[in-house]
Amino acid sequence: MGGHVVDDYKTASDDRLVERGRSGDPAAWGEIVERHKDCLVNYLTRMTADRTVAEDLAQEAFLRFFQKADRYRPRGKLRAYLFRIASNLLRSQQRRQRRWQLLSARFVPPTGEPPPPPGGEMLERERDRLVAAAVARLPHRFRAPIVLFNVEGWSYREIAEALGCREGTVKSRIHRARRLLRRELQPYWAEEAG
Amino acid sequence: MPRLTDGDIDRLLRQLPRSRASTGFAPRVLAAARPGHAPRRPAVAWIAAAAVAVALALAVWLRPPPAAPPADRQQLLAEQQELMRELEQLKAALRQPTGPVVYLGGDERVDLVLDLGQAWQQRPASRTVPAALGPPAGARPVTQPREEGRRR
Repeated sequence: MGGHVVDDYKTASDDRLVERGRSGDPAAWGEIVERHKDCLVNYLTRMTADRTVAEDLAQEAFLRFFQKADRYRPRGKLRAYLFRIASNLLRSQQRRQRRWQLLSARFVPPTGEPPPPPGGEMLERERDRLVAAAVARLPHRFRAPIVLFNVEGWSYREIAEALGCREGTVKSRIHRARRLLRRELQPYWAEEAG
Repeated sequence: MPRLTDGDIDRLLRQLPRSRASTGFAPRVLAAARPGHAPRRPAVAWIAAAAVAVALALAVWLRPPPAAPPADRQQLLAEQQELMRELEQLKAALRQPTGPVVYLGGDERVDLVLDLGQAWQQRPASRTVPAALGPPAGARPVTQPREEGRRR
């Protein structure tokens, strides 16, 4: 009987789970978290270059969604909806961070230490580290679409829905992100080939 | 030099290692979502904001009063004001319509000076042209009324 219920959760659509969650079923929320946590954390890790911050933001995104689940319209696009919440949280967090850096620069002398490695973890290969660092240096508006397209494998339409812009905008931003990455990585690429 | 193509970039991005949520992530989220769970971040934010406000208030309150300017600084300021006054006077004098002055000579008691500005102001209203500079007696005037019939 219990196994049947678990199977039921596993096979239920996102919208069906949202419906159950709204009616007070915590297990439905749990299943939603299980389904989307990894891709959300991966996306936010690439965006923030910090795994801990990424997990905090992902948690906050899920909580925001649960608190305001009534606003969600069931159209089979829960993933895009969650990523949109996460992207908005990320933008707010980066704004706060910039303000704090401006403020702290007046009081705390710069240490001159290099920034922490992307992801806060030792990447095994030098090439991956360089690529991840180059992605982390991209401006937010170019970074989000190229990470969703190339790292997460989303379609242009899904990215446009998640970021709240047109497909044409997504395409041009991905193109510009590639151009920026090419400029960053070309010296390393030539060196490796040589 | 080998050129990095869009395809290479796509491949490099796809090959990046994927990050996964840590063990216990889902239970943590669900625990935080329980109705009785107190939100953590707003409290921290309020405490931080209050601390910053108190620190700023203390900084303003404890700041020493501005020191009085030293004597030499006051003297410099007075001199600067004097110079500015003189500069203004010079500017005002320059604005007055005065012509050039020709010094014709003199001694310790008398200076003989021709003030061209005054001479210009006191010139006669109608100027007579000397006969040597006027037109010859038989000359015709330069401009004449046009006769329309002569052109055809």
